[in-house]
Amino acid sequence: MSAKIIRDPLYNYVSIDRKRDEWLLELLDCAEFQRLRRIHQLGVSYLTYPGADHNRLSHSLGVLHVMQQVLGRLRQSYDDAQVDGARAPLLAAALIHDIGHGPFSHLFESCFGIDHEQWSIKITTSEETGAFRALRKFAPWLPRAVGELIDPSNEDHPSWQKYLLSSQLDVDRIDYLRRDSLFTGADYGHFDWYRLINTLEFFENDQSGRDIVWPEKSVLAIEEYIFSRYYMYQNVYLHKTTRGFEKIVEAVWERARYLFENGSDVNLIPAIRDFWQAAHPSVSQFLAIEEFTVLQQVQNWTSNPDKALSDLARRFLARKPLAMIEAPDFSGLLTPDYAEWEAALRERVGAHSEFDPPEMYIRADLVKAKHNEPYFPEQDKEEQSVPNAIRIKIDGERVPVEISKLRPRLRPLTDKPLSRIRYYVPKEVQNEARKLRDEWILPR
Amino acid sequence: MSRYQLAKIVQWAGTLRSRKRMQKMVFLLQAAGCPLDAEYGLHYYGPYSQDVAQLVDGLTREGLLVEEVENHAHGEQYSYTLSQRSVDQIQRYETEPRGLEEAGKMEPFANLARALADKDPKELEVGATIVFFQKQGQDWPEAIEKTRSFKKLDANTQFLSNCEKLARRILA
Repeated sequence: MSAKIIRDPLYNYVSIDRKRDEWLLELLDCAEFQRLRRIHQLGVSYLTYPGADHNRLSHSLGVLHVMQQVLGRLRQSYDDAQVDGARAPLLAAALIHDIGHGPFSHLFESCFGIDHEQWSIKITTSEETGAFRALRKFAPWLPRAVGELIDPSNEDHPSWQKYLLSSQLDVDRIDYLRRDSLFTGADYGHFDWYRLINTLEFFENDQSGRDIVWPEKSVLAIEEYIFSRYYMYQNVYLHKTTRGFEKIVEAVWERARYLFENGSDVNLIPAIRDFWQAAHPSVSQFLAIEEFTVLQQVQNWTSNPDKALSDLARRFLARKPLAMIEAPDFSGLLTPDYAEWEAALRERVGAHSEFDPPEMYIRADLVKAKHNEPYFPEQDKEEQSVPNAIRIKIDGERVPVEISKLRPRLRPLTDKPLSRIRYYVPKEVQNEARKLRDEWILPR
Repeated sequence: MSRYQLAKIVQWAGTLRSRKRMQKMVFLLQAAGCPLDAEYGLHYYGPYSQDVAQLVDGLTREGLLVEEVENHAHGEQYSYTLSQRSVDQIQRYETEPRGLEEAGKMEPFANLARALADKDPKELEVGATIVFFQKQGQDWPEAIEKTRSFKKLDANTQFLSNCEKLARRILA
């Protein structure tokens, strides 16, 4: 067999050439990558969408596959050394870009105060990991090159390589939109991805070298992709019930941490205790925390003497999410007094003795504008405000044109979105909290 | 970064010309210690914050900032002033306890903000880029060298020296 073939529901086969890319198979087999099998791609979305049980490993293989296709396309069109030279770092970065995710993906970033990209870089460049050894086997410089490609603040690599990996139309997004749509059953992740990856081109830019652009004939496929992203955000990623579960998980861990730091015995599993006690947790301490570790920990807490901790832990395991209410309408105010509103809400919820302390049961949910917007258009040519925007090469134009300038239809999705704050409270007091919100008088 | 903080910076500037200046002023004030808490990354034109850009857009949409667009040969330039509604709200807010407290934290940076509002935007861009690299952990010569390479600048020019001076003032 000259190729390792892996079945995949999106692409049918993901294939790795055994002769040419033996090192990539070793990377795939390393313990840190295999750990991604045990990390839900969509955190606790499976509590809303029962099918959303897919994991980070299948997504990572999908990203590898899309990157292989893109590089194949570029190699056909541009028979040059730059593409060949970038092949290994780009394939490796595509495969392990998420290797630093913790339990339930983004969810535990807030619970543990971690940044998955920083952990991906550490795991990639730390000599103690199998990932490092597999990369080094290909070339001594490869671990560092991959770490730099994953690092969003590193500018040492050509912009076209960074663009393929992390931009507003990159291999990561192409895979996860389609995969998350398939597994949730929320049928919005359809767009002509094959056209997108088979029509991209290089554009020689005086300032930053090569950029990735698309020809005019691809604008409809791009438009479709942006709409798809919008629908997926509205229906899946920002789903109010999922957020209600996330808020419970955050409250559980916040409460436990508070008790731990104040000397209470919260019956910690050793891996979690070690991570919390370390001033600078090591790679192995980070990797020791698995989804089954945190679930077992939450299970342990259901019988903790602290009433709030045990109640919140039970609510999560029994699938009882916090319920959402919108904040009062603070628009038009320069100095919205969220603190005063939250104090009133605390008083209302705290009147119920079972919700003690009330702040554990009132969770603000800031949905940043950037998460409300499926695409960030370039706003002013003067400043090229969005370097990773989607650009179109137009016949007769000297420089590529940013997509929103060509497709006014995108404007309602991209025009000046706002951040918004929602609140989560126990279902038992949702109506009371709503009433308080409706009666809230704002200064004008 | 709060709405009030952004509005206060615009108030100090009077008319804040160009979004680039807005971006770099917030970054430099924050680097100098002003508690603004905006998340920045490095873009072609130096440190850039999507949060700040979106806050500006939000305030403009709600009529709290007045945006004017001028067309130039090289593109559009946006400038910002406070609407009367904002002026009134700031005045009222700064008489309340929480407004007094927030204003007190901002006030030490008023003179710096006014000085930055008068600087050449290109100088702000390069100075902010030096500060960005320095904050990333580069030592001073490395930060200068990286900025020169990133912005394709000649060494030992008066312009670069001005930018270094600005960066030193911020980090002092």
